[in-house]
Amino acid sequence: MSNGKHGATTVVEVRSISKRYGTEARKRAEANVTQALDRVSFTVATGEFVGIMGPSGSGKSTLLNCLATIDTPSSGQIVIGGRTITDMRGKELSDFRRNDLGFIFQDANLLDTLTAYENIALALTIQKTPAREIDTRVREAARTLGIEDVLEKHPFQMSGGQRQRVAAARATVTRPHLVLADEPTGALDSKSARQLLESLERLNAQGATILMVTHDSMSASYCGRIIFIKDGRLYGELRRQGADRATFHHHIVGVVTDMSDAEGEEVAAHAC
Amino acid sequence: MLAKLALGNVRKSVADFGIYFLTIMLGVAVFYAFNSMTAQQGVLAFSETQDKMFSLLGMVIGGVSLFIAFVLVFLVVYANRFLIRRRKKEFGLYLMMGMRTGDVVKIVALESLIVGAASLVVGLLVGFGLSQLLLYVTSALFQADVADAAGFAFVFSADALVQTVAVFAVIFVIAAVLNARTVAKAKLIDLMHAAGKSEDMKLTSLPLSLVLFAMSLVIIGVSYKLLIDNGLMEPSPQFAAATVLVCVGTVLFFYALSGFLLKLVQLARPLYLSGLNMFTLRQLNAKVNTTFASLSIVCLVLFLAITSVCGGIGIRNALVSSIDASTAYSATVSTNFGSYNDETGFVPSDLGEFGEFAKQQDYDAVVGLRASAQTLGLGDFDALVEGAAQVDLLVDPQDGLTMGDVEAASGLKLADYAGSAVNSGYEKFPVYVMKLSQVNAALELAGKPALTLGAGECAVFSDSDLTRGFYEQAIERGTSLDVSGHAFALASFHGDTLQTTPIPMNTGAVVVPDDAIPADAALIQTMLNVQCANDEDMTAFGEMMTAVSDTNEPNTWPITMAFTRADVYDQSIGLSTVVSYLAIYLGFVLVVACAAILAIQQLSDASDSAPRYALLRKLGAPEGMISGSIFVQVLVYFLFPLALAVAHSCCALVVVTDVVAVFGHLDITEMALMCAACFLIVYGAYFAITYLGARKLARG
Repeated sequence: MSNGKHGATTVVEVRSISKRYGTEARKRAEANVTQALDRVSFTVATGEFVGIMGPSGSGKSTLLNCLATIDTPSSGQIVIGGRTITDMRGKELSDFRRNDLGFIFQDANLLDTLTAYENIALALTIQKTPAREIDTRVREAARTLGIEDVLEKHPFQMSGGQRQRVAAARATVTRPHLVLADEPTGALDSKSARQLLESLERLNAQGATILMVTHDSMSASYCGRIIFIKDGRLYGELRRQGADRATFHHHIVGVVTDMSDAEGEEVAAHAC
Repeated sequence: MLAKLALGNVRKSVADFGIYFLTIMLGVAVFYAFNSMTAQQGVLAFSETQDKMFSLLGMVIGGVSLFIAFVLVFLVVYANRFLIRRRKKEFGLYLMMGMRTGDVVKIVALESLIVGAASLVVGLLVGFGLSQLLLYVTSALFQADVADAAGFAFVFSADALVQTVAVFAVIFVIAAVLNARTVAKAKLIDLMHAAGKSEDMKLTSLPLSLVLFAMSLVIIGVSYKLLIDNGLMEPSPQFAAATVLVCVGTVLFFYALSGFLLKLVQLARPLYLSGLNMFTLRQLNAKVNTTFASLSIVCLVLFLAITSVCGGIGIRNALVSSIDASTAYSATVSTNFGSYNDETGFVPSDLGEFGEFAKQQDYDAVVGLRASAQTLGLGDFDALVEGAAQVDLLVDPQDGLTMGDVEAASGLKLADYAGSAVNSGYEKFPVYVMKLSQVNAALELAGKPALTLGAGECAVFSDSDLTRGFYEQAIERGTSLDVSGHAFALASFHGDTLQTTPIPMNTGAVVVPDDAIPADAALIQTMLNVQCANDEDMTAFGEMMTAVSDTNEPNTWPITMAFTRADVYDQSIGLSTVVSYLAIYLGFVLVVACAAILAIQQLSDASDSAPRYALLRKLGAPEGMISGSIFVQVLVYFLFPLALAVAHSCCALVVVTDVVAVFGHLDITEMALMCAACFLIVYGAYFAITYLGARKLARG
């Protein structure tokens, strides 16, 4: 999906966003306030497959929710596809979600009443895509993800891996600027997880920009770049830079170990 | 503390309690208003007959109210089950926090009490207003003025108030006990995970739905045909079959409906793949297993409601519309002297000494009554009566004319004209003969033109819709009837009622020249029509006739029935008002019940589907699209049972029209519109509240 204007354009730009939860009233300042995100900034270029890693409570879900426009940061800006989403309101937001974002959730989150085909097509019909285009695009997405044989089945008739790949097809069939994946392998056995991650790799190779939140280093090793978050702050970044997956996995495990060992220590070495 | 929690809960979930509140409020209002009807007797200046009619109305409403109370119990319990089910998790949380089961039960009971008390109070206030409205309706219908000089009176019935409060107190106690049982019996683990349990998905094959849907239409069609062909005058195997088939067809219809709609729209690909259409249809289809039964019941109850209201108001209209035609005289005094049919021949009535007296007077009612009044010292008969005309119904005891004879002579079948309303064995029923001179005297007394018959001609009088078409066709065919050996050509048909009576029931009597009547003709009935100079004389005449009728003095004229015009007005309007009030009462409560069931079901579905709507929102479906989907779902649930019920009612009313024709002509159009408007307002209000509530629930 090289629809950028000049080479590797920036798709996502996160500018120093912070998120505080709790009462922000003056009385007994900070006492009730949780700082979920603290001045986080990074960018994602077109065609990247970026992983966001961090222990639970690190703020990675908050970050994803802000990117997904489900939550709004207390301060800072997020620009996706050249549009500042932190300034958008109501209808503009749902239009944006519909046209520019694709979601893959931890539990596939398919509509149990619809067949796989219909679940994928739904993303298009919500966009008001002309009916004659829908069939081709659904089948194309299904082919990419290897789920052509389950298209007429209902979610409860599929395996977890199949469900998650249907969700991936739904997320990408609309050709969004950015695909957000929230722990997509969280509920899968290792074989299904691998299949899904390979599918995501394939989608990425076809041009999709993917941002995946995970705490599993095996999953993360499929990414091209990992952003680490701890206690709401950017902890560091790791690039694959052509390394094979096993080596990259090794590096990731190293950072994760450092992160859990170095209680409060500044480990800036990994940042680049 | 518990009270505060309960109050807070109620305030928080106003949307949930909204339907519950509305339903109970309407129930209370209608229950009070109709049960307080008898109190109007104290306020309105009723005549004696009207008073009796109103006491009758009070009694019948009392009985119907018992049935209504059962309907309301069912509704309240049903609504409560929905409210409790939605809040299982909340109760689980209370228990988790260490609250005792008893306390949770108390909270639930308190909540029911708060909502119940609020709706009871508001309902009673609305009920007061409604009963005031009914007072004016009654006053207009009965042409009875408010007794108070100012023309305004507040009608209040302490009995009805106590009754209403008592009935609803019992209903609330039943509901509270059932709620407490649900909460007390529930296991904590189930309460906590109540939300997590989703219904098992059962797939119905779509082609099967198509076949079943087609089958349901066929079955309903067959039942319609059976009903229309056989009518409902008497219980017959065909009627039973039609009833069973219409129920089976309805159930099947709703079982297959969503599948049919789904398949239908799937065929139109662009429509199916547009917006949330496929989601909406799948959503409807997924619920079919749990909803088809209640949809069927709602449809059948709506059918009952529509039919009873239309039929009830129809009977009223029929009674009122025929009243002018059947009150041409100030009064009619009739006496039955015998009966006749094809099997038994002529059987004289046993009138004892009174009969002897009538015979002595040569069956002349004027002479007989004048003498009777004198004997009893009731005053001067002639002073009250301005003019009188007697009409005798006669029959030839050797060979009386019967319905079967007329059919044979004309080659027509009465059943083809009167439909299902004719009794079996009607062929044996007699067709009486009247003297031309008497009929003309009666017509003249009523200020109508006289009847002339050519040689060999006879005329027929009938004031019943049942036989009008039949006789008119017979005349067109040039039918000639055999009256005691002479052939007479049927020359003309007359719809006049030759007496003053509350319910005209002359299905046909033949007028022949006086000399055609054999000397030994048996007298079946005499009808003496009188005109009085004014209303006072009419009332006095009525009292005189009552006195003659009641006396044991042997030398008096026997009276079977005596009606003055005022009596007929009172009775007709009274009877018709009773019938229409009952029909409206019953119909209204049933419609409210149906709408409430649908509303509760839709709201509970919407809350179960909240996660699905949340997902749609995450996928970027705009709010308008989601609201549209909810709107269509609620609409389908409200519209289809109503549409099918209307179809059933149309069919049933065709048959009911035949039954009502016994009372007179059924004017269905105006009343159907009025009825539809009332229903649609209540039904529409529930629809709107349900849609708004469901939208709110879907927002999570």
